[in-house]
Amino acid sequence: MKKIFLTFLALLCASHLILAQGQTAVLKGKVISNEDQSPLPGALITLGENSKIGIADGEGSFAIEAAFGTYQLRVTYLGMIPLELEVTLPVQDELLLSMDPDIRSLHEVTVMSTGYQDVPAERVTGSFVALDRDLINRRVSSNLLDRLEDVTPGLIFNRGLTTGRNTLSIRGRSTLFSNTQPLIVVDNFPYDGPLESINPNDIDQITVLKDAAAASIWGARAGNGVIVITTKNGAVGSPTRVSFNSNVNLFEERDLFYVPQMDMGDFVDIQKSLFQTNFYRSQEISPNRAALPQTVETWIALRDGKITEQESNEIINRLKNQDLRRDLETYYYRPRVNQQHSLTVSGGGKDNSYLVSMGYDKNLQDVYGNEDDRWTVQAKNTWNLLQNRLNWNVGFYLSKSTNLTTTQVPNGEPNARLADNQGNPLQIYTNLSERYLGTVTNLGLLDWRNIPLEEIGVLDFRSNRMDGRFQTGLSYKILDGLSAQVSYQYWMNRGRNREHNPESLYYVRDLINRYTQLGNGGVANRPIPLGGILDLEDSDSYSHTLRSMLSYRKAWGRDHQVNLIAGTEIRDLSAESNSMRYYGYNDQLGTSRAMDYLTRYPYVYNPTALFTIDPRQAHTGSVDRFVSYYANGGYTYKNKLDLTASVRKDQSNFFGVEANRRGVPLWSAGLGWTISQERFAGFLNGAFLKGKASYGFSGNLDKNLSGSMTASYFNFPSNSFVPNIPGANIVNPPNPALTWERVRIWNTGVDFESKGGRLRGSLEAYQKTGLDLIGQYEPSLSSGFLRVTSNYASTQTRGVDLTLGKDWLKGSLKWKTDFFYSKVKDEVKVLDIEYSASALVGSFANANPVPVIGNPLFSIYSYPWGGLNPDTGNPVGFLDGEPSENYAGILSASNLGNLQFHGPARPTDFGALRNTFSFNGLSLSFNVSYRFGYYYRRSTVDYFNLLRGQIGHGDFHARWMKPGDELITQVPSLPSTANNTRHLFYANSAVLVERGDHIRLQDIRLGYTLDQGKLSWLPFRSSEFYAYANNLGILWKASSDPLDPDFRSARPVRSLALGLKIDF
Amino acid sequence: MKNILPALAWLLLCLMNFSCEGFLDEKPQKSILVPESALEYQAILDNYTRVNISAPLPFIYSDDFWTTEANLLRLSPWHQQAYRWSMNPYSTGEIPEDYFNVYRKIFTANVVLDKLAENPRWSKKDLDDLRGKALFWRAHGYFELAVLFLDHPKSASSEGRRIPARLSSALNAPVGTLNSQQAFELILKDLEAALPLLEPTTQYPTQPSVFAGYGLLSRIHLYLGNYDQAMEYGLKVLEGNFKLMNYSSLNMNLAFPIQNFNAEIILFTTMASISVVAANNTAFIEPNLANSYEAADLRRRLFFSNSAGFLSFKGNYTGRSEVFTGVALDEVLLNLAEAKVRTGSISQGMGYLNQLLRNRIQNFKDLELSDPTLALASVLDHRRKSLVFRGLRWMDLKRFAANDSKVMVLERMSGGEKVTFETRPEHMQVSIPSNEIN
Repeated sequence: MKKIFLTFLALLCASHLILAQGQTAVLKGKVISNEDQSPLPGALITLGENSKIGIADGEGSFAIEAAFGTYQLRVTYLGMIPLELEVTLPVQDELLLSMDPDIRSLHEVTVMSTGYQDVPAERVTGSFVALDRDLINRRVSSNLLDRLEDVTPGLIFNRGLTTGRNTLSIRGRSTLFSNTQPLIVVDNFPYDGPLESINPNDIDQITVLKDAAAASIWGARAGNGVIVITTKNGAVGSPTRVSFNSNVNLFEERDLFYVPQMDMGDFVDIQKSLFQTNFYRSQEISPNRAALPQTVETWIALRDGKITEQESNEIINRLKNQDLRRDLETYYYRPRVNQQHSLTVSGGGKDNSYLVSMGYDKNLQDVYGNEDDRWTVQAKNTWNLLQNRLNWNVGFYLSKSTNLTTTQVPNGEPNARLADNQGNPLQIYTNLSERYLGTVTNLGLLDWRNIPLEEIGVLDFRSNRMDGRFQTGLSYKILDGLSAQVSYQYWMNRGRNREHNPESLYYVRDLINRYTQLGNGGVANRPIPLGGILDLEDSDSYSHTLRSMLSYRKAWGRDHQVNLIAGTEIRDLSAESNSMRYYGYNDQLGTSRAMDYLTRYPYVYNPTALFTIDPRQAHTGSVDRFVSYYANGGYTYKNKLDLTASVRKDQSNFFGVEANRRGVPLWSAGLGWTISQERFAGFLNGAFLKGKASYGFSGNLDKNLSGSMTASYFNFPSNSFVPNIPGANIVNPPNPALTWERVRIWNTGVDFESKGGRLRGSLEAYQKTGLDLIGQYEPSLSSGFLRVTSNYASTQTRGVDLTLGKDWLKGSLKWKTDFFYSKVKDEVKVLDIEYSASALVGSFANANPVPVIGNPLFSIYSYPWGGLNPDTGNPVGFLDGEPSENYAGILSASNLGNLQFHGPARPTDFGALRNTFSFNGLSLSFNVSYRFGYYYRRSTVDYFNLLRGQIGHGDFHARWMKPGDELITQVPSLPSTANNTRHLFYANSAVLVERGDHIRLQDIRLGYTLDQGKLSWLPFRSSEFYAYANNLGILWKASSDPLDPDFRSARPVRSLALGLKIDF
Repeated sequence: MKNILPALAWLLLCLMNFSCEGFLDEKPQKSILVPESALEYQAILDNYTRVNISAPLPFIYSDDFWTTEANLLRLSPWHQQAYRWSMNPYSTGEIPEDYFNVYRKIFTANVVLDKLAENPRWSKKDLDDLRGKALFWRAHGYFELAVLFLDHPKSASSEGRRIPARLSSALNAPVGTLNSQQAFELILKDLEAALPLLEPTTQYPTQPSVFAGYGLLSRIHLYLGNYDQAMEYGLKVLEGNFKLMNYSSLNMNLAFPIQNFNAEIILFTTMASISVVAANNTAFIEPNLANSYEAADLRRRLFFSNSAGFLSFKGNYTGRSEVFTGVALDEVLLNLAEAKVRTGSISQGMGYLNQLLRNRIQNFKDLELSDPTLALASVLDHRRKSLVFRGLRWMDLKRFAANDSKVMVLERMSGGEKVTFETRPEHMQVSIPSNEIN
């Protein structure tokens, strides 16, 4: 090992000794744009094989010193066609190098960044989308991923009830229950931290890798696609640039009245009839002393002669006009305000480049007293050493975020009143009844009143999170074309949640009182001591990643080029968290009390309920380890034919039982053919046309499974008979054959561009097949398992991505349109379990798919609807094909065969249309997005819960009330008794299923740019004022349902951001 | 220059080699336990909710309680069916929890037994202890299955009911079936093998001791009508350190005067919670039974409370409202009394009964009965009064029908109509889901 290093070092030194000899001269010149003769600062000038480099300064001028001789001079500048010419030193005059704009590359980011290498777009055989800085910065948000929405073909943000944690999908979902989220790579390494800790202002480019040829270099984690994020860098030889960006984003106030609710007067009438039929009786006399609604307490007081009829009527009439939502809007909610500021300094010397940035975000949340902020700092530097043979880069990234909660929005009866007419705080009853609380006032218990308004700003919940990355890399050019790289990343994330509940909080007083043991005439013992309650949760994670790689690039003449990389990677990620609770906590002195967690205490209000004290202790820990080998190769023939192949093998500690199941080799191959380069392509008249195809595999895994028989320890609950011995649950039976899921991907497509570049676009078609998917099946119940997971299921996704760009107007008034359309259709192919009808109709609200062979993973099913019975207003279904009101019978006789299948629950056709106008520095763009081809289930009045005392949906007022109403409404009549099966039938019937198709005006951005190039008196290079309005509203939707198809429970709030960006 | 490529290749290979030694053996989640040690297998057997919870069906099928139509609706559909004595209570699509939960207990025991078959390097004490407990729980599970799903061996017809025979934890192991005869052979074999391995005392009565083994064997032999063995094992229990509580010394002012781990408890198990029993005071005592307690009988005051004009169950040996289904000294004394009386030792039998009743009834005067029929009637009467809400009644009804040909007619109101059930042996087997036996 030592020997090898010595050899290596010796070689490094040897290469340094290549000496320049003889006389030298200085080559001076200026780089300008041929279009408007403006200077091109930052243009890169390379001289000869040994790569003497110069950078054009602010005036476009440069100077390079080199030995006498003849050289090939090459000038490159982003967006310009590279210039090459031969010069012989010495040259007397200053060279004037005039560059032509490259129309094509102005529109397209020229590289696909995979995290391992940057591939020029022309050489790519796979499918990817690259978003440049302008597109990323078009939106204003503190979250990075939001900025991908509606600009990335094939990528959709899932909305609605099935979303769960699966917010993003790239080309659909090719797994049933395993990980669904794409791999996120930041600066070439998989990102382990929360994305919230990345400042969007630091981002230079985002590349979304969609097919096997693009993504399979990431192997077993690429099955859901890969998002490669690259942060900004300085440039060698560029002057110091300072850039400042600041914006304020103002949101609308939350609309608590968005989902219609029935009229309070009608609700109180229902409560009245429930009271009269003794519905509340069992709660009234229950040993749990449960709180009853204010209305019911009033009627009880009237019944028991404690108040008069008149007093009662007064209270009831007031409650009929009271609405908790109004009080919440008055006392708790405010418009959210987010502000974001960032400062970046970058530049470079002769041999190095650097970038330092800082960002600060502060968000005032929509509840008074709650806010969060984020500080980010990054610093990076790159050195080119040993005459550019050795490149060393170092980068630090740190982010600190804080979330402060001082107010929690209270729950209460829908007509609870938080303040009287003078605004004085009022008591509400949430756990224990007014009657009970009246009997315990003299026992020495703590004040047991719950007065929410007195607790505004009183909580002290803080969560702090520190996220840091350190990266370094060495790249050494061994030979012409061959280089070796070693890179390393250390990542850490430390978080602390500190929830201090002072004794003054109802939550604390209530808990202390519950456990209080009464003796003769007063308090005998307080098992939960006086004082506050402190909950702490500390989490700590870190990872090491080490990658070594060889890359080789060689061209033989003009006809053959190869580009190879191969390497290994080791990752080790550990995470740990510990949480604990302290009782009797005194925040001034920092003291708490030792506790008895074993004794079962009777509650003071219900001696029959025995509970131990909750210790709230929890510990988690995880270790992810990967060892991977990878290689990728590309061969180009005559700049028109590209062949690529990649292979990767990942091994991890997730599948431990059989060593040969540990790793999975995955590969891909791709072919690209630039047809317009062919001689016979004259018919294209100079237009660009390229075809491509790829095939390969990527993988996916489920971290929650294991091949061994696993068990998990648990703590017995606080009411258990045996609270202090360890128990273990067997979680899954041994499954030695468990292995990685694989996704087989076909992709074919064409890229095209008209001559001159006014029309450009691409069309791709793909098919993804999920193989060895982890699915569940039902074994014999006598096995002791209801469901068993194993690798056997399969899904198939087919789709199309189309992008089109068109410049309608060029010149001083510019108008361009960008459009994309994506189609995704998925289908379950292999499965060995039949889900029950209730699971199928319930799938509309399930974040896990309820798969059925031949149907989309997420589908909407319902009970067929037979209208309303014209005599009773009862909903009618079908039993054995006949109209029926036997709801229990309908539910139990339902199965996949007789349910109505509507279609997918997620959009199958979606995209966006963006128009951009610009005129003399003024630019206006707006994005219209659309989603088609899916269904959702509307919510409606739940009579079952209404007749058990819970307020219902506003559909109540549209209900059937008299014969004839069935012609104008589909809302059933109010039944006389709570009937769960009638409700379940109606709530899951076909009549409530709506088409989700809609078109919305997502956002508008208006910007005004002042440019030093045009206004030379400006003290800065350029500045932009911008305004951005988001969530502007729906333009068209298929359903007449007034609510937004994608936002069922809360309206997306509109926002307006104003910002300023200055580059010095 | 030519040396560089090999040198770098070496560098890469070094990295690869480093990776392979143990690096990938780390377990991914701290909370995941791949059980290896005796302590971990002990924890698997200490999983109260999977091991010590009994099926509610025998309780629902009993004539111990009735409830109102409204309360009935809060029960699961199959429990409602069971309330009407349907022997096919599970409708399609429903998971027959009572069946599944018992097999899950058997699986848990088999997991331990399978591990022991690999001869792990544990101490002999651990090996014996775990084998004893695992065999005990497997027998316990099969006995529950036999009482619910199989015929009584005495009344088994030739084809008879069968249940799957799970003797290994392997998911895909071939599964035979057991009829009633075979099931009891297995149960007795497991329990007898467990006896020499079980400890005389355990940390908690939730874990089986050797006395729990004797107590369960006494119960099983009583069910089978093997009164000599019921007696033999009952007597062995008396060698243990268990004492009758004197009910008159309990503090009647407490919500639950009887502690959960009291001196009578030999094995602590409870019935899966069902809503009519859980703290709602809505399981009402069958009226004839309620009326049969004398005024001085402390069992009535301790077990029941007045609720809405009826006597409802309050709770007894769990220290709260749940139903105790374990083995306690009172049951063993009643087993002994019954076995003695049935085998002709009437005065000895009455001796055990009086010993119990002295601690149950205030100012109790010993019963002196010599007529075998009257003596047996008295023992059975007090068995019913003592062991009410203990999950044992269905087993008793089934053995009375099979051993004594005593058929009773049970009655309940449900859905506005009177439902009756005759305890004929051929009526007393619950159907198992059709796809469980091929």
